[in-house]
Amino acid sequence: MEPLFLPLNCDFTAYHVLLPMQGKEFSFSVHNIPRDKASLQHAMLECNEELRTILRGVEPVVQERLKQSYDLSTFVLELKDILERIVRTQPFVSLPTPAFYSQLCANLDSVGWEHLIWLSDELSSLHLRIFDSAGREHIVLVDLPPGFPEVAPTASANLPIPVDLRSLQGESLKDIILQYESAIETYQDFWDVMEDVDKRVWVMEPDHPSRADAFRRIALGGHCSLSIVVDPLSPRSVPECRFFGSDAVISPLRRRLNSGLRKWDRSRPLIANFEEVLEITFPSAQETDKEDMSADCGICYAYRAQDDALCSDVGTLQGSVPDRVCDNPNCARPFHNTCLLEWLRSITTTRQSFDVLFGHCPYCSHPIAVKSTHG
Amino acid sequence: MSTSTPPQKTLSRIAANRLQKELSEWQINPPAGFKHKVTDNLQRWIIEVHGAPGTLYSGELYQLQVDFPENYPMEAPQVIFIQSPPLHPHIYSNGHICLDILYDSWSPAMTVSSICISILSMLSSATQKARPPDNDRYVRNCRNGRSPKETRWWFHDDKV
Repeated sequence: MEPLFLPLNCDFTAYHVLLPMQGKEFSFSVHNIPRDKASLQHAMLECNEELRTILRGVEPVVQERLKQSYDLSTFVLELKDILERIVRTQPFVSLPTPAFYSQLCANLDSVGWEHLIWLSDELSSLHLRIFDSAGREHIVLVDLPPGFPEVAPTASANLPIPVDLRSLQGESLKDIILQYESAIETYQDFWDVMEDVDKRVWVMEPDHPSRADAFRRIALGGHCSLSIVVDPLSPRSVPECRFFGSDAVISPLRRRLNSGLRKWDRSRPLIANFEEVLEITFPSAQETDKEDMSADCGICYAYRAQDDALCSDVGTLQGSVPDRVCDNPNCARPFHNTCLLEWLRSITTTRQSFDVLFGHCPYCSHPIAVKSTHG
Repeated sequence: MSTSTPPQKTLSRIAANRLQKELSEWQINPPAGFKHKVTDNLQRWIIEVHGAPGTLYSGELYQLQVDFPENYPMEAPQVIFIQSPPLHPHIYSNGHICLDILYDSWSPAMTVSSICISILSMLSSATQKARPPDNDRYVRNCRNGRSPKETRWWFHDDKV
């Protein structure tokens, strides 16, 4: 957008300038512009309070530029340059309208201030706490757009399926709370089931399951594990299952799962169903010797892969877990795919066929193969 | 006596993590006859070896120097005797040790502790105290500070 120059007199010695920039429009006027000479040596700049605040501290620079410019449009370009540099270091903060504050207060009055547990300094986001019928605490994160209340706020919470907010009625915060409360009630059975799982068995993954996690990796003993994904809307039906471990151990389990599904009883806890169908007892975290169950990688001795590339991305990506297991049932050592791959690549006796490397288990020398690409 | 320079590159995250765990395991359960001399250098361990009772080396004290490569445990550590190496048919007078697991037969399944046990068992099974027959030629070839890992080893004799 180009600046607009409005002459303030018939002599064209004074102009009012409208300078659009980054969604704002600055206005100022310049007086004492000579008609004949191409110089702004004696020109005077007059600006409003807003512009003066922004230019505080750099007035001498502006003055200098004005004197050195030979016409008005050159000066306007210079000024724009100065403004852009200031804005880059300290972006404009526009305060919300008075309606924002009064509406926020009115909204919180109707929600109940006891629900508010955190509010950001610039009032743009807040945390609302809800207790469900089982007494679990839930936090709803709400973001208030600058245009609130005309523009609806957005919200999120730690739920297995995100809530798709219906168009908000009346006081929007109150409506958000109502919609989340009803969503939270639909997952009561899901959380009951998951909490029971977490209590009864040794959950290897996630490290600290959140309310949103429908996935669990459960230790079976002997370096084997079962990973399940529970349907949040039907938590008592058979979850999605995947076994990890040496074939000798998990093949019979897989067979029993497939043939024994008719024994699945939705009135029983998930773990009881698995124990019935798989004909096993899950080792519990309390009474299991961690050493005996050692799930750590036999090469790097870590559970989570310590890949440098992964770890540089702090906390957001967790390294993979050792899910490549030696097929020798007496060994059954777990390895990270990446560690095994690096080891097999580093020795000369490894053979490769297409993208599969064939070598030997570093522990028992049993043949072991690993894909050189993931997926 | 130590001639070889330690590996220049610092340990990778994987190597440092694994060594921390080996060290804590060692502190709980050290191999019999060995003592780790505490330093703050994770990349070079100095280990005291006590000759096993009832063997030719009974009552004798030696020192091992273990240097870890950046990509440990994908690559074996460099293990040599420092100061005065024991007289043994597989140990050269410059401290280099002819032991397959330190070179071609290394596997990440091994640990500093298991290496120490192998070295002690090698010492214990000796029937005579002598240098390897090619000691002088080998040591001369290593005078420029060459690491034993650069040697092409022939593991011809596994009885001693």
